Amino acid sequence: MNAPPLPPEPSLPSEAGLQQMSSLADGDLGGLHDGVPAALAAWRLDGAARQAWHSYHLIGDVMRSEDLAHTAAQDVAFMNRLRERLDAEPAHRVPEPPAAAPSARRLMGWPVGVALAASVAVAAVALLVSRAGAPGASEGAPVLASSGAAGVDTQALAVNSAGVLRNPRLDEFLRLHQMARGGLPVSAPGGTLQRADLQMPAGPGR
Amino acid sequence: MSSAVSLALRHLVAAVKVHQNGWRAGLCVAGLVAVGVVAAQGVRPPVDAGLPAAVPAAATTPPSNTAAQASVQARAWFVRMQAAAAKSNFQGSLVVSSGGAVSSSRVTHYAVDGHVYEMLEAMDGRAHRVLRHDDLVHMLWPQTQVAVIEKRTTLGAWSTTPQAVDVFALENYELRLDGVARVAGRDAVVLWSQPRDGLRYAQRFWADRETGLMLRADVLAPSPTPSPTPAQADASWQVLESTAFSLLDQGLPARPQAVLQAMQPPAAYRVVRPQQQVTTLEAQGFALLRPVPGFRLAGTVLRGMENTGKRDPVLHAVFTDGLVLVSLFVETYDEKIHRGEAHNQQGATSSLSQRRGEHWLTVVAAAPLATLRLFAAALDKRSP
Repeated sequence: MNAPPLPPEPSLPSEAGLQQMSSLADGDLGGLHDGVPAALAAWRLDGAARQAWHSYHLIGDVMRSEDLAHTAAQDVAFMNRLRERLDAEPAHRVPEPPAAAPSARRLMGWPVGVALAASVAVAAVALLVSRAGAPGASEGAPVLASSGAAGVDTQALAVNSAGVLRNPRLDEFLRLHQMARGGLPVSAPGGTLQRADLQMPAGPGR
Repeated sequence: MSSAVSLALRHLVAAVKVHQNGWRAGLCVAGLVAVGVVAAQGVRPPVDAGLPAAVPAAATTPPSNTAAQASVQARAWFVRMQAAAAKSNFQGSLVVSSGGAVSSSRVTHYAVDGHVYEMLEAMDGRAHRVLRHDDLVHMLWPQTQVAVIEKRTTLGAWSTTPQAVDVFALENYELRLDGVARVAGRDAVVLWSQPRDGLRYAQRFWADRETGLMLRADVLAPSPTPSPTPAQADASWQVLESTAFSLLDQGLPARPQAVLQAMQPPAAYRVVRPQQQVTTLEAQGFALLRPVPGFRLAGTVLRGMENTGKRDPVLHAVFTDGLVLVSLFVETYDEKIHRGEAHNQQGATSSLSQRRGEHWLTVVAAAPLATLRLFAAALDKRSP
């Protein structure tokens, strides 16, 4: 169907051009291999087609809200600004294609597997040490004076230069806990002098 | 038995002399070796009465009796382990594997004239030593040149006495023998403590068959994926943590002076003496309104936290189920340092920190998280 008369433009849109824009807006042009490329080319090259495209959408927007009434020039300005912003963003690394060169192949083999295993182990230890409590911890109504809603964020743990999670108070609690067992582990099974500062596994064989 | 062996040996040796080469000689040599092996088996010490009766004679004993016997034997081994820990002289390397991390310590223990001297030196991580003479404990940190001196109160010490396993432990765990193995070059008896409910972990101990000393201890939790058949029952447990000797010397001469000398901090060290005071929950204004099943309160201590810089005392309540200790620390809530509930787990030991009203609670235990949560909810302010 034809749109109502548009604001004056340098050239009047052709009948075919209007039809194209209308079909594009309605989703009648089918897939990428049908009329869509032609319609897009028309939009890019033909100012009148662009005007028609803008009008069709403007009608729909204004029907929903009068605030959305604006000129096509705003759309063009927006596109230009968006293009600039995209150019200004730092480039992301393109993943390198799998190297088939013999020099790269030398990197494969057991050290890579070991490094993978070590990094998995590091991640596992880090997960274990920093796991936060789950919500819904209030089993039964707390009878102590109104319990403040317990946040779920992990307690702030300082990370020292060795990359180990440390909390001095928790360390001290662990130490007191172990001491209450009665000294060396051999006299009390299941209790050892554990420390929160166990080093992250750094090498193979873990 | 030995006469038959020597007769067989003589015949075989004679046969070898006759058939000096060829396949018959080889056969006789093989026979000699076999006889030698059988004879060696015969001269080994008789199987320890502590092992479960695996002989067909069980057919004559009703099954319940055998199980009861095994339980009694297991308990006897537990008692023996505790006695050996207190009275032996030994030195070795102790390796703790927990959650993928491994740490190793050098351990020395002397028992002389009713006194105990212990030294534990961390072989990785921050260098430190823990030295003990009876109840006096010195902890030395060479890198920061700090010495912590305190008197230990073993509220939650394993309550098995040299005479009997704590009955309370038997209520919470089923103890049984679990075969034999070899650890640190020593033959060992394996003991298994099966929890009777889901609030505690299982443990497996290896005790030196000759001396009773604990050579290895594992803490195990049920595996997330249960095993489909009983034959794979062992696969239904996962080891959370393992503490084992890799090297061990037992029965060495005691050298208590070495420990006493090492205990003295060098003059340059800063000495910290945390204060502590035995107290009760009631005296501190708390009551145990929701005790956790299978655990009893072992004691309460008010501790100064000089080690951490914030000096306000912390209430340390200790609970035990006979084998495992739970620590509950209660302090005044301070929003500057207490932020958000946190749960950490390293190997078998978990800690849970959370706020309850005007207090901040920290629970530390080698137990499942559900148990820690129950302890966090156990105390209440005592109604005046």
